[in-house]
Amino acid sequence: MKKSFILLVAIAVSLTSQAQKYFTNSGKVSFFSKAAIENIEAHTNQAFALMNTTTGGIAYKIIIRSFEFDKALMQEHFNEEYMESVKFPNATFEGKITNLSAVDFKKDGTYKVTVKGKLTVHGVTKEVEIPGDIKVEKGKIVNQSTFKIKLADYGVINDKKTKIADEIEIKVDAILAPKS
Amino acid sequence: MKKIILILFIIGIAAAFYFWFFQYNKEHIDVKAANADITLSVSEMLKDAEINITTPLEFDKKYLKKDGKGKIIKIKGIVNKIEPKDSVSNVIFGSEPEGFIISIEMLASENEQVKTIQTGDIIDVQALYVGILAPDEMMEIPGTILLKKGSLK
Repeated sequence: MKKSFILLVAIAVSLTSQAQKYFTNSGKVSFFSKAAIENIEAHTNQAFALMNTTTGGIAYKIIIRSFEFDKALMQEHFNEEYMESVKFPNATFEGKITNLSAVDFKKDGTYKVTVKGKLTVHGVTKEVEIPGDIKVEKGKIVNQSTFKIKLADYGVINDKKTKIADEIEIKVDAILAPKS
Repeated sequence: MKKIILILFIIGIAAAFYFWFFQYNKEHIDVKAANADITLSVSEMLKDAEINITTPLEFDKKYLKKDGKGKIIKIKGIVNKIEPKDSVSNVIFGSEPEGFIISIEMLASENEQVKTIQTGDIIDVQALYVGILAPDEMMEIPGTILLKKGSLK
């Protein structure tokens, strides 16, 4: 009887701790840049994201080549000339929610958060502070954010300034489910 | 003489515009209709990944063309999992304890058919190589080989 009780407690503890981590391998990330001839937009549905609701830790990992453009030529230029995706295949983010107490993960709702962390793009890592929303919805977490980065900060050479702006806007929209 | 120069100049401008227009508007490769660059089994690709676990760029070299674009891969194996979604679903080969998985984002046009696939089915998929992520302890993700624009063959 005592053994069964201990086993039940162990299972309960294990389930609780697992539910503290939420994951997706199909997060949406897109970016937008104003350009002289035509605005540049691209998206991927293959972003990996992990959130730990106990620590407030958030991590993202994206393979750069997963970004899709409307125009094939733009996609080629993006990978070859700007991002050098053979040399720097991934972009990553690792950070923490700075106002974790503002989020009630047990109650459905939308919570404003700020995430501080390290963003690595094109092989260059920078400290960033990103505003965003955490939506708690039916046992899942939706992580949404819109922020801007300067290409020069990440060593992305933009010598053809007529083609692409110096700053691009990034949008993140990922639905994370409890990690099994 | 002036007329000839003018005609040549106009032809040159027209040719340049024609080239630019068609290059600028060229279509993405039709992964479903194209011939595969590499045909292999799931176990062969997973073994390749294991060998290059610390050198993902070496793995990339094999599955990328010289211009850095992904090769078209035709792959056959036992389905480990289907992740059904509203518009596009993922097919997963391999399992986490083995170290690497192959995750293929299928074409939206294949979605209804993909949803009928069961775990354990043996299928052939043609897809575009995207890249590889090494196993990540912090994110608790297994090594993942990503492909996209998958279609059933």
